[in-house]
Amino acid sequence: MEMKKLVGNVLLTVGLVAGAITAARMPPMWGGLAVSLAVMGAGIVLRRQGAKEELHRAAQSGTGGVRELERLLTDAIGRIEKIMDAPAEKVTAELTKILEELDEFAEKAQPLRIEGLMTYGTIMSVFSKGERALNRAWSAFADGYEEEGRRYLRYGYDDLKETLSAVKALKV
Amino acid sequence: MADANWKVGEASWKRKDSDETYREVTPAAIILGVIWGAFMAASFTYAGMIMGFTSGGSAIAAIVGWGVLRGILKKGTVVENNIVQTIASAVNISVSGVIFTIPALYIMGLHQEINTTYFFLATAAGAILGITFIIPLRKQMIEIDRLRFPTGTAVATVLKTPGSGIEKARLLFLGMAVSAAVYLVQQFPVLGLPEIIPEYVDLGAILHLPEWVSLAMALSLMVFGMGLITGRNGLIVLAGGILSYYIITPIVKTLGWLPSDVTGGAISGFVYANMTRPLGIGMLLGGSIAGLILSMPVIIVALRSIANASKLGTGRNEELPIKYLYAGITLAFLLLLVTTYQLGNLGIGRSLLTALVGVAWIFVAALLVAMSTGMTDWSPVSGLSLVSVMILLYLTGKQVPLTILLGATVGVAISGAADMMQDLKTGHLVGGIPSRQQKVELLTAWIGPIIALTVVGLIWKAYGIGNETVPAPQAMALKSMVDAILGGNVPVDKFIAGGILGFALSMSGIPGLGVLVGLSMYLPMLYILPYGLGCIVHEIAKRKKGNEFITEKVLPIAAGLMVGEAAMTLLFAVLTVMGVLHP
Repeated sequence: MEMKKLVGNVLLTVGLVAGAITAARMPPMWGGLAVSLAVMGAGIVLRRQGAKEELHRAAQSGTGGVRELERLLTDAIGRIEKIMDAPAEKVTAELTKILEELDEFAEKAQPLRIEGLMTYGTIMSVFSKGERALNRAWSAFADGYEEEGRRYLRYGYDDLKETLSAVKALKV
Repeated sequence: MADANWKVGEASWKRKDSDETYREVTPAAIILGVIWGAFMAASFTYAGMIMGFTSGGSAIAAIVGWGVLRGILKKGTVVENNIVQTIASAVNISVSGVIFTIPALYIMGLHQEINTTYFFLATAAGAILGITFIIPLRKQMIEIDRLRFPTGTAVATVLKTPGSGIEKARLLFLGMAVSAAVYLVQQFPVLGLPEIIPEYVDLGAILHLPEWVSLAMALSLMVFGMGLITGRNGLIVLAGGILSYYIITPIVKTLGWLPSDVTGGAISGFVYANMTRPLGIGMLLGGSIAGLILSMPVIIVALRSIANASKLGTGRNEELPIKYLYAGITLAFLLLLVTTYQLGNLGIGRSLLTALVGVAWIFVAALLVAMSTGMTDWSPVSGLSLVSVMILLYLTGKQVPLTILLGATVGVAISGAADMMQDLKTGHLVGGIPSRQQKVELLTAWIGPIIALTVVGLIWKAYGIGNETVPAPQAMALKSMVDAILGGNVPVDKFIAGGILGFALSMSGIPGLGVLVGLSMYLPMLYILPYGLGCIVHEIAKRKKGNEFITEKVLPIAAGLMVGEAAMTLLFAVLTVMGVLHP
């Protein structure tokens, strides 16, 4: 872990422990609580800066961050293209794997929050819409409603492509 | 119609008419959901007043749904069964909001001061508010924050089991069987069975630790299963529990901050009741308010996108139109205003203020309970009730009957909000259309309070309430809260100190940190330990075997562990109603 973020986490934890102890007394030690909050504040500033720098470094080196997100999305889109006209049984099995891959995307997208909640929210909003469409496609295929399944497979595909465009447009 | 050749664990549901509209909201789903929900509501109301527990019942409804839709009616789909469980849990869930509050009026002999109509108005207002407030929060918590909602995830696993393959089905049923068997052995009072597997094990005593070290662990596979599904977020709860019980408690003891008559085994309980728990309640509130402020831009974007989609009226709009949110809030506000004005004799100005603050508080409480259940599955209802009663007593000029009635509104709203969010998470995972789920819930949620209020009234006439036959433990707890607040015995300073800490934590950039740490101080270690153990197992399995292993193996087992114990709680409720069990 990057040093700034690590120091930030340590300060945050120390501030929390001290704050909780001073606040637990009856009545609370307000002076002690104020000092603890100052320590926590310093920790918060450092960890936020550290997290942002970490995200930018990962993006520049191409080892993670946005590049990794692009790769996962591109792969999922490619796999959907291959099953657009495949038999129903094959689609259900492949969709299970694609949905697992999308879960990984969602987890790895979390650090994007540091770039701004609006940016993160916009990307995740359209991504989640696509994910839900693919979940519906899975259910419809499993239930034997192929027409509904293919319609939502297409919806999910379109939404993921939109997500990919949004991720590519990120200036990290 | 369809060929009925579907088998558990095989995606071999063949249809002749594949172009038929995908079954989702159907008369069969609505009728089954209402009937099963009403059955659970009546059973849990009765059992809750005697034994002090209730349960959501979503997973059981999903299993019953499969049994009826495919077993008897020979049709049914994943999303149709999702509607069954959504309605059944909506009808059932308001039970806890009613039995926690209304019986207290009977115990205090104040129920005759309120016309029965107002009981229905106040609880119906709660049911409507709880659901409508969730409309903008769904996008934020499920789609953007992607909270785990362990129960919702478990129910989705049950719904998807028929098409998921035989291996997943086996794991689910294995988990269910083990969990149900263990719970039965622990609870059933015959042949000395509870002695074989106790309800908890005192590790502190086994390790010869001092009496004041609280190291007892509940042997609950349901709680362990919740941890298994939650994963990383739960580790923060575990860390907070360690801070609370194994750092703060010894330091408080060492520094001599305890009254001299609190010694030995009583120390841990005293610190929890008077220091860490009220701090935890404050942290929950501060953390959720900070979360609300931080998420406000996203909530506004969500509201705008819902409003714009409603205006366009074309394309793939699957969100409930924004007018439902406005209409729901207006209706619930008017119901609260009429109730307060008619019953409280407060004048129009103060009645307006009470209704306004009541609606705003329900929004904050609904947000908090949805965040807590989303991140961990725990719902801090009793802590929120304490704060609700405190606020309402102040607003109503210490009018106890009106306070408890409005407390019922809040209780029904927050339990409904948490349940709706769990259902919407399930819906997301199976591809249900959110607007359809929300509409059926709005149409049916008011049924629950009517059932619960009717059962409470019948019990009062038959046995009385607050006696040996019907102890109503939760209502007695509320009565104690009211007495404590009226006696000025509320740790407001702890709430404020905790609120400041929780607020600061949630500003850290780690989503929901204030709420998670607050929960860990609020919950007893008895349950944090098995829950934390489940979280640790999840993380180890994920690191060693990867995400796929979690989805394919861990999730179905965890869902089974949760469902098995939940099914047994319903069985116990039914046996109690039938008079077979006499706790």
